[in-house]
Amino acid sequence: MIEFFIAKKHILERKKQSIISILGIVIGITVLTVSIAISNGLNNNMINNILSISPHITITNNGYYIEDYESIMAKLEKISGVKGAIPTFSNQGILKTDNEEGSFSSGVKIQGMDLKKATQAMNLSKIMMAGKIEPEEYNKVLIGSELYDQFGLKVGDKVELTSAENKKVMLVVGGAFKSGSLDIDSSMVILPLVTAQLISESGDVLRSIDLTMNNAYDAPKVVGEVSKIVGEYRVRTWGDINNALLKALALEKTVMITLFSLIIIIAGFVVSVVLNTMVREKTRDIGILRSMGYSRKIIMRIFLLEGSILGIFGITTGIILSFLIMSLLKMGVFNKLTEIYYLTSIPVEISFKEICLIVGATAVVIFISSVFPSYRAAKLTPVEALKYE
Amino acid sequence: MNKTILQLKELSKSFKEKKTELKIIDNLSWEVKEQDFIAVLGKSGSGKSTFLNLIGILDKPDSGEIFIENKNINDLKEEERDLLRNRFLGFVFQFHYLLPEFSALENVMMPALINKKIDKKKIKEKAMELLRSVELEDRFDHKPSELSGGEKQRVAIARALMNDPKILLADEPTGNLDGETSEVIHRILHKINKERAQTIIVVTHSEELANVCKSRVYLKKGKLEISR
Repeated sequence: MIEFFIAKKHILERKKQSIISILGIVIGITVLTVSIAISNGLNNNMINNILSISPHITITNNGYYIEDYESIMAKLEKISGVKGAIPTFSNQGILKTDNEEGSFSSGVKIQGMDLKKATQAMNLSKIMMAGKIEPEEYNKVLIGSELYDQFGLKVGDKVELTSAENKKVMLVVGGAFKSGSLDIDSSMVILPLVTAQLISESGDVLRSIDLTMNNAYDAPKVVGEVSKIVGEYRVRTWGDINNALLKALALEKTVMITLFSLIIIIAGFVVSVVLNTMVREKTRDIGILRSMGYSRKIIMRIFLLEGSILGIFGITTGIILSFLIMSLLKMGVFNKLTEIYYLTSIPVEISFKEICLIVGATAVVIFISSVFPSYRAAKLTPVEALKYE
Repeated sequence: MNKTILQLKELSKSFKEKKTELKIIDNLSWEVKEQDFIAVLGKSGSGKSTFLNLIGILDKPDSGEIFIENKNINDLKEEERDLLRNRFLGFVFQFHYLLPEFSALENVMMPALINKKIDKKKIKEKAMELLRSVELEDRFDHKPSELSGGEKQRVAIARALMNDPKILLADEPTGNLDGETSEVIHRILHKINKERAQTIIVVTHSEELANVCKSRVYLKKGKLEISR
């Protein structure tokens, strides 16, 4: 193919300009891909942290207690996709301790749960960093890891918990859990359901029934069925509860993609400038080719091909470099940074669809950038091209 | 009697300069037969190059008709004109106009590479043969920057002959060369006309080159005067 033969020669003869164009595309693609991957990773990490200790669907009675919950739960557990139903009683309280490290007290969220069911449905044991879950030990409390460290606690230590109803109980530290969410880990304690009901003087009632799904993202699909079972009770998915956060994450991602896409547009501009310069430098050569019978279409294809070759090299190198950087991030090469953000390593996640979109959008930008100079080259008449000084 | 290969009928071309119209070619009619070797002479600014651009289908006349092998150029679409230029015409310019990125051999191959039906190997063999015929067998892989002025012009002649054109058009082919090198080009053009029965039209200032040609015409005030 003669067009490719000529385009290749033009590119190789102008190595410096070609490398600058390719470099522009590489930087654009790499910044965009790695940023999206980190953003996805951080967002998913945040969502996973929330979901590790939070239910996927919450059923409440509009501020009132839920009574006769056993029959409802039995029905809910039969819904396809539901992993488990956990009876829950949450409350506010104050945690106090007095040990060798000193005296500490802190306001906490008391999460009373049927620990046997929670262990099965929430994989609670996976997030335990000290001690273990003992569902039958009603005087034991599980404490968020940040609070546990802050209070200088050990498994077996005694702590005093005062409920919002001003009922005090002495509990034994059964263990500490780490959800990955700083907010939860520094303010939540988990109690057996019976203990939470006792210190709240509520009797055998619930604040909520928490459902976990085999796949958290299937929660909206079963909301209708759940509502039919629970009647007037309020049914909310984790997406509804964290709506503001999810919207903020989506907005942040949109803004980031928009800003970093500008680098791709600048790269397209560089390709356009380089090709324009090439057309100007090659004006007489275009005249010579036209005098030999090369049509406008062939001339147009030569320069479009030059833009495409630069684009293909830039995009391929950019994608390879992005994967290299993402691998290094996963390997923990830049882990110094992660300590600040309560992470063990920088999480990176990118889908095949997103990579296709980045590659496709860049290819379109580069192609559009090549069209104008190519058209300019094709528009030249043989005589004006040959006369060009 | 050789048949007519090029015919011009009442050809006119003018350029607008500021508010005045400059008539370069004025109602010009002319015929060129196969195997002719014609020198077109004229003063600087007489319109020789414009005339060559018109018969080389590089430019369009304001009025009149050009027939190449009885085909009226005016009836052709742009792509057909490109094709005609590729298959029927060969150009040699004053300043060689070789493509700097390509070797001498690649430059010669260039006009034939448009035709996808021809095998690239055959194109290469023919280009090598043409370069041998202009005594450049040891310059195949040399780029234009590595060739002398005379060598560049010989590569340009070989390139113009690549598609076996019906007419070879040369615009001041020795205008940029010294006397000795010019003589080599004269000899080559003469040889091509004689051995290949090639029709050649040369626009030149050079009396020496005009003397090599079989006939000469003068371009004066937009019209041709036949001399011999």
